[in-house]
Amino acid sequence: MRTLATVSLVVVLAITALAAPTAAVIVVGGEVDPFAPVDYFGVEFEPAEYSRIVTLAPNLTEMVHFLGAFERVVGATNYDTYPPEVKDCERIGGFIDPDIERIVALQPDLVLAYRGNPLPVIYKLKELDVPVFVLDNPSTLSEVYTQMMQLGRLLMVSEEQETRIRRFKSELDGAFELGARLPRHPRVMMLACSLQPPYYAAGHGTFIDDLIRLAGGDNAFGSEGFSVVTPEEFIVADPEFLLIPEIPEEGFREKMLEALRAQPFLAQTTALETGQVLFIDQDILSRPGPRITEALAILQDALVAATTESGNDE
Amino acid sequence: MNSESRRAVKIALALIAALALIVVLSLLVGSAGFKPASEKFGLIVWQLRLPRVLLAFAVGGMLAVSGAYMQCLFRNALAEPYITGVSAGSGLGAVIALSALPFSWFLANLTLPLAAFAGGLAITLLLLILLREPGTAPLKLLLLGIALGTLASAMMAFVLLRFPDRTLKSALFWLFGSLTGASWPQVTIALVVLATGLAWGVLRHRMLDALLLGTEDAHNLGVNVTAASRALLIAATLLASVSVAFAGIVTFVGLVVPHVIRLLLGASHLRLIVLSALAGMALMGIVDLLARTVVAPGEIPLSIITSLIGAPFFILLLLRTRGQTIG
Repeated sequence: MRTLATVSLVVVLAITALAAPTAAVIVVGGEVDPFAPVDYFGVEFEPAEYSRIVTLAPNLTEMVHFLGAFERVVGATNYDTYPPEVKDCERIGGFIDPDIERIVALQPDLVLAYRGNPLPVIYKLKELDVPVFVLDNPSTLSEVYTQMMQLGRLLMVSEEQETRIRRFKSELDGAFELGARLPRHPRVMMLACSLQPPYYAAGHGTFIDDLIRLAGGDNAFGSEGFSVVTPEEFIVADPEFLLIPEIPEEGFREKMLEALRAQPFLAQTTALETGQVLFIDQDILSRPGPRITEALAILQDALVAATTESGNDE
Repeated sequence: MNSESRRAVKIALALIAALALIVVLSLLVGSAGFKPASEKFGLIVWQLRLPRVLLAFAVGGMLAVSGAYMQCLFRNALAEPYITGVSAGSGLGAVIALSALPFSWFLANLTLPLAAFAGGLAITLLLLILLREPGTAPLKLLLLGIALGTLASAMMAFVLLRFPDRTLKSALFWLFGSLTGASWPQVTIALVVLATGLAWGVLRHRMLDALLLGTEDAHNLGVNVTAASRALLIAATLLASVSVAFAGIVTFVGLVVPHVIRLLLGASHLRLIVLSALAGMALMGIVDLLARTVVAPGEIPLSIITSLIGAPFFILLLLRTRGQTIG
């Protein structure tokens, strides 16, 4: 019995171990044209004038809107806020609990999803022969550009629209050039808004990290991904700028500043001492979509102002 | 004896009627409403609502029967399907699958359940390797299961925090129970597993009754305690693993349902197993219906509802039965 059990366990583990690298090879074997409408699962889609689109994340809705195809959207998540016309779209649930019945009832010819949507939902929709185009979470702003170009090809948008996307890319490039030329790169940290510790910040590999880099700053938070910042890390990192997503609520800024100042390890950071706390609308800052350039501009203006003023160095 | 049997039959019939009612209700009710004229309505009813309610039945039945088996194996009223670390192992398997790159060549909709099942299986196999005679030392089995479960939970938490973008959101939803991706292949597998696990218990119900008397007495009654306990452990964890694989972690059902049946009808395993299965099916059917309609569009994770319904109901029942022993 024991031998049987041991053998079975080894077999189970071996199969799992073998399956993982095989999967890696299949997905990574890439395509030549970076803008071909091939989704995250490697499924190639036919470009077509899809006219009944359901989006499973707000940034995807914004991308479709940026491409001038918003009137083709029939369903969006409960969290969609932009463009304002999205309130007339049918709501299909959240991004971790999209409602399959509602989606199917809308008879979409295309569903746009991202890797954070629950896999069972994506698989079930595919099983019901609903085309689902899955996008990865962008970890850089150029990935946002690539995804928009892919969507542009997929939805067969006009030349004009593609030009608009390329202009988005040149804005990114322009910002990068400007940022690189700054005399120094101030330490910036993006904090998720929370009134109490633990505080989450954007680390390496997130698109916010890329945003900070493009703007000409230096991400003061060295960890991977979106993780907790300990009080000691705050003191050692000593950010000069704090980026905080803002909720459209009365007195949010004051409340937030007060809460941050109440923590001694935060109060002594350069950012709070000099008041260099940037509040950016959370719908612009937290969504890897076309409006991220607005956040980029706000941050870059602040960094330029801080580094070109005389006598402003620590 | 006779009146108890008659009572059992009456309750069984009532439960079967309830199941039929739940099926009808589930087909008519949903976030897409009741629009028979609409083109997609047939698809919604036959490909979404029907497999979902049947899978809910299968999962509820598996959890209830697994709970009954666990309570027999441990001779302890507090035992439940996940007690040997099955849910933690399954969670670990699922989370690893979510964080690794997705397979495109898999059998649609079965990858995640397979990974979860593999995790639950791995933990159980480890348990069987480490413990030679599960029947004679239920306490040791329990503690070992808890230890392995805790280890698996810790590893799962590590993977979740290491790949938050990829796993945290999708995993959270599944970890608290969801039947949202229910498909016909899943229903078939789950019903077959339930039927097998149930049939095994029904055929061996006298052996289960004997085990409850303790190692010595069971042995004197001719039961091979070691073999029987091993088989019981495997049956219980198989049922639990498969249910976690398809529905995520659903708490309370495996603990409460066998208790309620025992309080109403006594500890004879024949009645206990069959009626627990029926009651578990009915409970999950109702729970899933609520989960997908109360906050539509959007869903409430199943464990939240099972706890909200199960806990007060169970407390009430316990308070009303004075002096009756449970264990």
